[in-house]
Amino acid sequence: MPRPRRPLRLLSPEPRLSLQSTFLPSPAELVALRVSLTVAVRALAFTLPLAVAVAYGLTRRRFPGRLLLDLVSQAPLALPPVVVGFALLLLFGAHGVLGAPLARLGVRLAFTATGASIASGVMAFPAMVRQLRLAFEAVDPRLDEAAASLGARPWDRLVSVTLPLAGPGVIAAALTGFAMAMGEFGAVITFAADIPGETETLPLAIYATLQTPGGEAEALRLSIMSLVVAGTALVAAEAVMRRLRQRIAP
Amino acid sequence: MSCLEAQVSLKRGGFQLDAEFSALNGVTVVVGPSGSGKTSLLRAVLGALRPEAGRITLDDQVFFDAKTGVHVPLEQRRIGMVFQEGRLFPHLSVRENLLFGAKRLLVDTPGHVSFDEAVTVLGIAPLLARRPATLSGGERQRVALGRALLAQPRLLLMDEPLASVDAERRDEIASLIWRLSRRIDIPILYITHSFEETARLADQVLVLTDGRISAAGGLADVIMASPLLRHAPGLAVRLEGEWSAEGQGEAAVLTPAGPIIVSQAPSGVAEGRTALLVRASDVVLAVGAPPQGLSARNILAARAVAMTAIPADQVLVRLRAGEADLLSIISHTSVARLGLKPGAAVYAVIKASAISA
Repeated sequence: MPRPRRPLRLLSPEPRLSLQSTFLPSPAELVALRVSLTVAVRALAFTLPLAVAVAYGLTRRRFPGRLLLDLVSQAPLALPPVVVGFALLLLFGAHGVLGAPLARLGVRLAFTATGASIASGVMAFPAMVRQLRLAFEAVDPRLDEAAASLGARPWDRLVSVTLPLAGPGVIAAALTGFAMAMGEFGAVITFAADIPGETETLPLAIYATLQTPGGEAEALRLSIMSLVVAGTALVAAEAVMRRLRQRIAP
Repeated sequence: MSCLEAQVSLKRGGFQLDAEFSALNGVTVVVGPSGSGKTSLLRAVLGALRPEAGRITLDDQVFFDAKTGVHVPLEQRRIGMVFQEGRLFPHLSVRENLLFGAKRLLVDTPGHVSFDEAVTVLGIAPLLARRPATLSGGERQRVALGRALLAQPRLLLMDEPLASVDAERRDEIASLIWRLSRRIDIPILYITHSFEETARLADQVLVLTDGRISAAGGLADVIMASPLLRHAPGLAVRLEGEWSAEGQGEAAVLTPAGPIIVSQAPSGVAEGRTALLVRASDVVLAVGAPPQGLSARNILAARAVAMTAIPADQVLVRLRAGEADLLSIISHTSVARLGLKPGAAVYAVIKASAISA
């Protein structure tokens, strides 16, 4: 007699089994977690340095085009994420302004994991810049002058004085960026589509399961995973920030 | 001998600064009321402000020249700066703060102050592992001074460095700065509001009023020329000289005005060069024969050089004793009683206990 493909959960004599199958993630769900983490980390890797540079420039330097840079860096905050995704498609799609030359070089960004990182990074950028600007504004600019009088050049002053003092703020900005990249939906699905194992992050997976009848349990497990990741990141960032703050002002 | 030459014109809002001066090795004190442009002048020399016109040079190096458009960035001028609030880096220990500039030096200047020497002279050895936030005002400024010196500057600027220091520690740090100024032997520009600091430190005084230098020269010259200084409380002059032990708790200092007996040497430093502060209110004048039978130990032959009226119905008398300037404050009545006129021979009488080293 062939065994049934799945045991009937309701008739299972072991209640622990039922608990496990309700709360333990399936391999497919773990893949969504892995995709989410990869996308968010890679998004952060290219966005954070850029956000630090833009925030530092906007706080400490006077240069032509400063207002324009300010507006452009804030734009994704005001636009619907779908519009940002669409704009990325127009730019980086196979026939896009930048996408076409890139395609000739064999680089494809739309509908790829890299594309998902770009889309979520762009969406996280404005909030990171805002937080970093607050962090840089809190650093006494007169210390920069003191460092200069001791022979430190501009890049040296940024690395040895301003960045260490803005440390807690930089961590906070990185955390914000990470959380926003993990949670981005509209821009990712528009620019990178929903490809399981490649671009299907936790929010996309949650949305997909909710479209399936009886998918609530899976959606719940995915949501709990999001919660655990966000919670861990928050606690870790808080610990690092505390240590840094202690170093700066005991 | 180095020479700083500055000619600075700049405008900030409705304020116009037009100052021209030169400063040799030693301390040039810049005094003036608030808003007279002292800090702007210092910041222009430092390179933190770019003047509209003028020229700033140190020996043969041009820091700024409006005509040729030269403006050397601050970090390339090798100018040490001690700020009013210290501006220590809060994320670094005292040791790391001290070494911040030293670590960035490419070559050592001959005869520079070493780390160990700076730490010993400034008395900051117990602080090395501490963070700036835990230091008192005086400790912070001593560390800031050490940090500036260890960067081996060619010129040192100090912007009211004692303003944030407790009153009872100011004299101590001022005499430390004086001793260091003799050790490092570079031009030092020192901004202050305090006459006491001016008297303790100045080799040259610049009085800045409304963005212009209204008087410049030695301390006694400027006191006689500038109402701002003349009316300051606690008028005094500084006499420098070598200690020579005298025994019985007394010591003499061989000054250009003659040997001066002081009641006690401060905390054991009774050798080498020192600076004495002689207050005008402590100098009694006598005419005629050398006074006899006085308890006061110092009786110096001098000549009254100039006299000028000061508030509270008093007269400030400038004296020349040996090679040195002295000041004395006496009443109008005493001037009349003694028949004192410029050019008159007098004796300056000073109690040993009135002189502070």
